[in-house]
Amino acid sequence: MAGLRRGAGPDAYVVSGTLEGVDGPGRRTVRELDVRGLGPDAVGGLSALPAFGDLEDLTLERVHGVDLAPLAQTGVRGLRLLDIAELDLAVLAELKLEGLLIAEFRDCAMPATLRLSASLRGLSIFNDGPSLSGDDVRILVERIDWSLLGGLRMLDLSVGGNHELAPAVVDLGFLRHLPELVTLRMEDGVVHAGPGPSPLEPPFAGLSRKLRWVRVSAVDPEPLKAALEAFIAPPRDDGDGPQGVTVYQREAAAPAEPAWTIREFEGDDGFGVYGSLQQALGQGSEETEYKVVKRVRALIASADPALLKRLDFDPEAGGTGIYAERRQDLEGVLRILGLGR
Amino acid sequence: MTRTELTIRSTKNQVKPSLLAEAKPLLRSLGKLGKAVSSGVIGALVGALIGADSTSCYDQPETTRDVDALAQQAFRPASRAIRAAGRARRGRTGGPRRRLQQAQAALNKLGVDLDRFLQNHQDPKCQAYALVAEHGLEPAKKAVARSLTYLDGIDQGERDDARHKAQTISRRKRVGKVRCEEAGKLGDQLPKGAGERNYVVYWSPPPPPNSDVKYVGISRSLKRRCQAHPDERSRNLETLNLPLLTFSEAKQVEESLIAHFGPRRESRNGAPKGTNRGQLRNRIHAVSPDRPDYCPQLLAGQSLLVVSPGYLAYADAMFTRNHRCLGVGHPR
Repeated sequence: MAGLRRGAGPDAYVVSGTLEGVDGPGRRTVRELDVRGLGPDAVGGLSALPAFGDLEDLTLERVHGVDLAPLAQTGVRGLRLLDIAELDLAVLAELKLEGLLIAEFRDCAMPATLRLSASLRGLSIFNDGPSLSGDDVRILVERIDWSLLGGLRMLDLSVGGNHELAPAVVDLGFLRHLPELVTLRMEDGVVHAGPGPSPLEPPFAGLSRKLRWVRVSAVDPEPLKAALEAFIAPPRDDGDGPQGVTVYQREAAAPAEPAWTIREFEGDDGFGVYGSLQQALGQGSEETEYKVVKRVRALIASADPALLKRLDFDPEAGGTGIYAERRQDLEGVLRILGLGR
Repeated sequence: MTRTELTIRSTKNQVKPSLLAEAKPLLRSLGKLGKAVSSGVIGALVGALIGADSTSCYDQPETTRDVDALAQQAFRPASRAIRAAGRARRGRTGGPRRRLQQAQAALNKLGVDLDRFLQNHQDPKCQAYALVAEHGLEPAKKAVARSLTYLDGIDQGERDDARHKAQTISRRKRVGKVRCEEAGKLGDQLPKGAGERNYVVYWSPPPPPNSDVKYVGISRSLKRRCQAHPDERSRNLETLNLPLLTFSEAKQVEESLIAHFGPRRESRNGAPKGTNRGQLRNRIHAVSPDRPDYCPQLLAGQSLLVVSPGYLAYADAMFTRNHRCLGVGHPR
């Protein structure tokens, strides 16, 4: 039976695997709850959530095939859906949210028109992972009724960034419904295609005049950056969040290299693979890359101790490089870990 | 009858010896806080005990029960908070500090409530009841304030230690701002193997502007790391001009930078989830904020940034999943 355990912040709690046996917060004040690793076989699903009367912020991570309907009976203001699949997002229309983040999602059902609450102030939607697609982002963006979101202050759409994914091609004309927008981030994998000109190109028709931080990409960044800087509100020294304009060089979508491809380094540096072991083998965001590397080393040591001695690990928070003098050694590692081809 | 006379009479007559005996272990545990704090605690305890057991205002039991409740709601948490502060250790001052702050607010509220009670009840017997509680109020407030100062001292000691270590590290040879084209030369200068001071910290693209930074990482084999990353990241990658670091030191700096710029799936501390998302492409932290040793690790990384010229501005931690510790906000 799972139980609530303390999370990082005050009044923050985490529950993993199942909510079975969790009737509610008990004597605790639970304002922030992370529910991790819930599948369709989890007894009771999310039905315990309405008992959490103080709940303000909810994260559902690695949740798939679960009924989200109980969310409608909670008072959550901030919702993060991370690494989700096979969920029906129609319930989002019943929540009075201020912040919503949907990231790393696939195969989710949604109504033809998704009417999010007018109280929404921040919205982030992105997909970035080896088995994910920009098409899911496109469909979600097209289904949202943007005319209801006049009070939105932060919008963040992206596809890829760490992984090469085909961009989401959407009509950015919806930006004209967002006059209060202060922060706009769309630097990765979102491309305009619609009947009218892009609001992100001069003369920026329909783009919020209140923008303070813009982060986009363009084939020719410099002229766009200059034009945007002339368009948006001048920077203020008030410490209220980031501000300014960043226009990155838009990269042509390169053909996606299979994950964990073995590459031969120049000179006599041998062979190597690089990727996020945390994303491939981790147990969610509570496990860092370094922690997963320890687990992986133990796994290799038990399978082939001699092989481990011939490997050189170079981890960082975002991924791990594994190096060896011989290609066969890396092939052996990938075989043990079940990665790559 | 003066206010002092009333207080002394009430105190002599009504404190139960058994309750004082019960309080002795509590008082012993406060030795660390010094004489002034302990006397303040005695005042707080007296207020609480008298408030709980006084029966001088026989004719208005409901009213006296109200004062009982008010006094206990303020004095007892204050006593407990001071006791917790006395037990506080380095890296563990956040909880006791919050309790003291709550106690401070409760004592202030009690003062207002007692003043109102005294205005509304002219009967000296009833007034005596509230005056006893009021007498304990100022010493209790002072005791709470001194306990907060005591915690400040612990924090300052922790900061000083972290800063001292960082200054020692900062005397080592610096890496310089190295881009991928020069990564081969850098690699030739670094000691090889695990456990050596051969780690560099990098970001891509480097600031300014600060909003440009998309990715932070560490490596002891920068040339190979440059080849492993996508072209766009490698093209803009640059190392921070820090001393050569061990793995754990580099990881601490990496976490400080991630906590400053924010992982892409997390919201800034205090913001509703889904708003104010981190600007990095890094998905997760280098050190999990759930770990019990998160605060000292963050502080160590921040301190290295503070003592390294040009990086002070990146020492603010704003993305720690609302985890509060000394290193959150600015480490100074």
